[in-house]
Amino acid sequence: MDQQRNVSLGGQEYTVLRARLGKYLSLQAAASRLNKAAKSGDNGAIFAAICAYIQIALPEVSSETIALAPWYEVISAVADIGLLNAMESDFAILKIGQGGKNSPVPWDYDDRLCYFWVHLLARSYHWTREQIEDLWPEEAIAFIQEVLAHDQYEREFAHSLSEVSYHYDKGAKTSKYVPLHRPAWMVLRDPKTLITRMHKHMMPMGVVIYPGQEEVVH
Amino acid sequence: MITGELPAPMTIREAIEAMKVLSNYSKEIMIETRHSRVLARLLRAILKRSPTDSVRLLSLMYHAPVEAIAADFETGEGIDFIKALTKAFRVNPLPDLINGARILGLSEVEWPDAVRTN
Repeated sequence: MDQQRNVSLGGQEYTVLRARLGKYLSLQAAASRLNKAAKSGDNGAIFAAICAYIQIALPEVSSETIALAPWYEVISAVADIGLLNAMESDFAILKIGQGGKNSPVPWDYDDRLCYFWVHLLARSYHWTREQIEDLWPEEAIAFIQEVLAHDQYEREFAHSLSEVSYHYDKGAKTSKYVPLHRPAWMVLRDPKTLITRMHKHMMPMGVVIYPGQEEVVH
Repeated sequence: MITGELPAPMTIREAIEAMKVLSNYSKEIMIETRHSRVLARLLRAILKRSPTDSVRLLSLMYHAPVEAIAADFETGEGIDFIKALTKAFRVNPLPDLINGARILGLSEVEWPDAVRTN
């Protein structure tokens, strides 16, 4: 994973460093504002969002430099900053997501994601905001996944002690335990990791050459 | 306004507007596999659907008001118009504009590697 990239803006070379969590979340918020502006088609808002995005990664670059630079340098800078800060790790919570509706909660606001991440980690580990913002994004997401899994196990335990977790079947005159619903990322497995079993008669017969392997006789 | 020299590349503000104009056509032009044909299809589509878009594109790429560009071509021939537009796309490459629109979220269309640049 690259830790830095060089970008050119207005004929000057700048070095962009990979963002820690604080900057990473600010970049995500700016990218979200850019996306909203692009959907609304407001040129001024798109330009402002591009400036904000670049200036989070490169605070020394002025809006005027961005406005006067050739457009392909600006687009290239946006793409490079995005690629440099792309999360490559294998986290179920990112791959599968929380499931359910993607619509925002009624108390949603701009930059809520940043406060949500900081709140979750501060509540669990009692770190300060500065300490949390100094984590690498991959570290933070690993901690958050553990916190959310731990919270789920605690809720399941509390649920199992409650009456509402036992459904009474009048016919059989017995109670049946109804487990608490788990989020999709804790249940679903990545399809790539699943072993697909096939019936013997559907397997190829004779000599089979797998790419990069020796011949296998079935 | 339009001289024999190549124009300077657009600024990001001009390019955003140009990408918005081009994104109206990107789906129908990206069915071609050669750069020159994509450009030809784009010009045909613009002239058929909304000729004012071509004046708008020229005004953005030559950094001139729409009225000045329109006045330049009032007496000119169609071939000059296409020449000017083709020349402007040499400085502001069409594949980069289409991919740039995708990066900014203005369009979902991508210039595929399969499109040859000849």
